[in-house]
Amino acid sequence: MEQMVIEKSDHLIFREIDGEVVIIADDGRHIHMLNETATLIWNCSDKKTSVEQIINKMCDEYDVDEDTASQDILETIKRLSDKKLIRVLNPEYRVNPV
Amino acid sequence: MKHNGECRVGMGNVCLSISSDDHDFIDYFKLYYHHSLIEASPDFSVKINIQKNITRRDIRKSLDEYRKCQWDFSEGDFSLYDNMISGNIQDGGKKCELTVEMALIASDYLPLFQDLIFKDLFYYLNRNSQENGQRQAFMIHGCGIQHEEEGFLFLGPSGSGKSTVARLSTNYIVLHDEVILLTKKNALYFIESTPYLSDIGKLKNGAAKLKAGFFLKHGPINKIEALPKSKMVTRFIQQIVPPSTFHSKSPRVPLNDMLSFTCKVIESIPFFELHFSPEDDSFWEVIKKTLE
Repeated sequence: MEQMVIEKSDHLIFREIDGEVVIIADDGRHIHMLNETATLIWNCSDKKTSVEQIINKMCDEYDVDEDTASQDILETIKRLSDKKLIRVLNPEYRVNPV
Repeated sequence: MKHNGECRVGMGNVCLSISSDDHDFIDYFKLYYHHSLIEASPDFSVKINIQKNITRRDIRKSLDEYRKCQWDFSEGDFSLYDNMISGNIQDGGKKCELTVEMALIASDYLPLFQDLIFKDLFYYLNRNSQENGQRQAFMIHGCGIQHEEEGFLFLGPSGSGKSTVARLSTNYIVLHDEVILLTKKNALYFIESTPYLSDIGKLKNGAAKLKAGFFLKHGPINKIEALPKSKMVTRFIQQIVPPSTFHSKSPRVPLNDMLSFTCKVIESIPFFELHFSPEDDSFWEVIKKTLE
């Protein structure tokens, strides 16, 4: 069954420092700092990890309930996507909380 | 003593020989860059021919537009800024002959000439000083101060207080108030002077092992705050003076180098945010207390 997965956009340079990711567009014009949630999403943006798996990971790592994690993750995905840092693949498939 | 039409300028680990048949130009150069004059064997020689007999039409572009010109500093011929500077690099990359129109030097466009002589040459000459294929030396918009063999770096955009920090550091050695070299040598970081012109009269050519860095922010009182490292990385990288290749069609390589270098500096050297009151020179006491 197809699931919503994410991939990193092209033309970006990034480094992780102290658990937070810094991303620079490779034209040097924009710099982004990702908070912990966004860093988690970024690190899972490998075209293989589904958004459901990311939500579950957040629940495990941060001891939050599924609804909170789901809302946080989906909002952050939208923000990262709006800034063209990530691409959402199969967006037509809805996230089904476990 | 016979004027030999030559002077030598120190820039970090590099000695530049600047020569010209126009001895007035060399005298002018010595006067303006006196704080950087050194006696050493040159690593690179620049012969400058000044074209005085050209009546230039209006300079077409702004300084910022020219600074974004795409070019790579490498061996062979080059022509820049609508041919106001032309030249060639030869002899295995150790000699450069330049022809410069007087209109460029005698105008607000002098920074283009400074950038070529100092910034672009510095990056070119340090192109082989790399670790794992990445640059280990960068030019930074920063104020470098030396105290008792230790170096302190103050960073911030124009107007943040770098020159004020330099003016208020009366018992310290000011390496430069605006443009500093930051180089990594044997796992240590050093701040070094540059020859760039400055409004501060008391610059000293030298180098110091970097002890700590501070991002300047105006505030009512002097105080130091911690910052997340990711924030320090974003603020630091914006103060790097990029090599000219940054403005080439593919800035990815220099940008990658800049980001790697920045992360390593931030991980190795303590950096803080210094809330700085220009009316109060006690910020050094605050710094000493923090670093104890």
